[in-house]
Amino acid sequence: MSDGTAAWAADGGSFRDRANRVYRLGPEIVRGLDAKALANWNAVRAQPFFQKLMAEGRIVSTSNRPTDARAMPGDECWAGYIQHERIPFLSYPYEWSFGMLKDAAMLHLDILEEAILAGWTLKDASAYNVQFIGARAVFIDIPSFTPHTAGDPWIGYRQFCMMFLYPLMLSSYRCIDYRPLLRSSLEGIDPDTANQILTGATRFRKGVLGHVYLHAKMQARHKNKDLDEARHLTEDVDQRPSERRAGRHSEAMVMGVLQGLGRTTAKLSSPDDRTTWGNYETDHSYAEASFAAKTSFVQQVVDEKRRGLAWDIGCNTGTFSQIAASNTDYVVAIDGDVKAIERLYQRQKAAGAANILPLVMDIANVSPAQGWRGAERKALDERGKPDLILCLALIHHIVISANIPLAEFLEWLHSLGGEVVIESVGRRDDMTRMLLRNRVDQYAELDNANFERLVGEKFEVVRTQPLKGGTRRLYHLRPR
Amino acid sequence: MRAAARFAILFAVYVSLTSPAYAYIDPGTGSVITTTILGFLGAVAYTARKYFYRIGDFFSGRKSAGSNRRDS
Repeated sequence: MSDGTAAWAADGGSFRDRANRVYRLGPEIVRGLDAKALANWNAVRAQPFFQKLMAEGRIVSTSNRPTDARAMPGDECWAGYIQHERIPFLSYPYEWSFGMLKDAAMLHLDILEEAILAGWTLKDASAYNVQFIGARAVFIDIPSFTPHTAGDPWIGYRQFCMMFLYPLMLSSYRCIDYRPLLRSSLEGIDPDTANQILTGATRFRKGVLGHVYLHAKMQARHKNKDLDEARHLTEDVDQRPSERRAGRHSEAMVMGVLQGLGRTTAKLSSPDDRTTWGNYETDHSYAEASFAAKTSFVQQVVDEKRRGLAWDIGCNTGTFSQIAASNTDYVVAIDGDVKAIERLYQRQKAAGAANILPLVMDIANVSPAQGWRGAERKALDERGKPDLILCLALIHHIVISANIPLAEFLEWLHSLGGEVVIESVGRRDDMTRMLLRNRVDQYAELDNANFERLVGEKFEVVRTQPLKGGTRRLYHLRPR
Repeated sequence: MRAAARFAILFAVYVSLTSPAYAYIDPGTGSVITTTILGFLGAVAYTARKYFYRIGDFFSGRKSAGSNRRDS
């Protein structure tokens, strides 16, 4: 780009804290800081606790960026700039498995504890301040570090409860899927809502009486007081709102709450942990020879060349994501099955793998752009276009279970711009027949000849191979 | 009984006499009061744990690296 200023793109999700803003500058992630935030950055980066957390990869790698006068973004003028390591693919709490949300919560508490002991604090507790690089949780909001004033309470407590603790409690104590709730309410789950759900005997589960019941009651009490005060303000013109006073919170009080929350969070377990896995990943309908042929086909496509980003949609426990990861910089592994994604995450975490990001998502209803101006949280396909898409043993679920026309699904795949490995599942296939047991058969489009005609309109077929006695077929496609 | 009443008065004075805390997010008055109550209970446990580990470290001859440990 010839004009330096034109390249600055303010991140749509970075506007709440006026002390800083994130910009994308080509491949760079740059953050502008005001004078106070800059002074905080210069002080905190000299702190041993901060250096240790960054060296461990728990805080996003960040460095000073020299101010470039040509590159000043629009009308905004910042006192200084820092540059962050780029997160390969953004993800949000409503796409995380239980283990991912819990690890993000523990990371937040661990960082805050170390900060408090060193005389620092975090000024918020948003779950969006954590991202994943593969299976590693990373804290990304550097300007959140501010000096801790002795006696101040923990400001982020309510936000932590709403974005981390309550979703985990709902899942652990009541087997309620928190993802739809977090997706529709970006601020998290309100104490009052959590209190209405965590009732009965659940009230006496660890952490509920204090962090949910008491919290909701206190919030309701002060909300009513605020309403009364607001009513008086409108009547008496000269009256001013009363000043809020927070009790003096000693370091022991703050640490006591933090460590109590840490113990509560650590004890929460996913309802899926309590079921047996069995042979979850071998739960497919292939004979060994067919499965080996499928694996070999995918491996050959992956080995053709090094690619930047691959999506494995309908990844199950990630068998093919791992093949893709052998010659791809980063793989996003997506499935609507919570158990499968949790399994993949725990395995990746145990292996210390950094290039497979597991996400829970229904392909028939992928994450949309949402929040302020529909730009605060990005839609799935706005976060990076894949060079390769694996779409294996999925098409019958899309066409039959989700009733999405095959032509539209292929059109969506084509719009992503990458090469595709897709498995066609014909009408004679056992799984197709099983899915059709209780339905009117309106799916003539699954016929092999029709599939090839529709594919040919959008893609060039590079290679193809029959599977399972010809009831299925693998295709390697390039977009036209 | 008299001690309990004295504690309640001190607690009320303590809560009402300190300075306001400001942030770009509203911490919520009800939430701050909740952390005050939970903080009192947590502080006792935190302090007790801290000294428990220190005593343990003293007798075992370890350096008190674990005085801020969360697990107990």
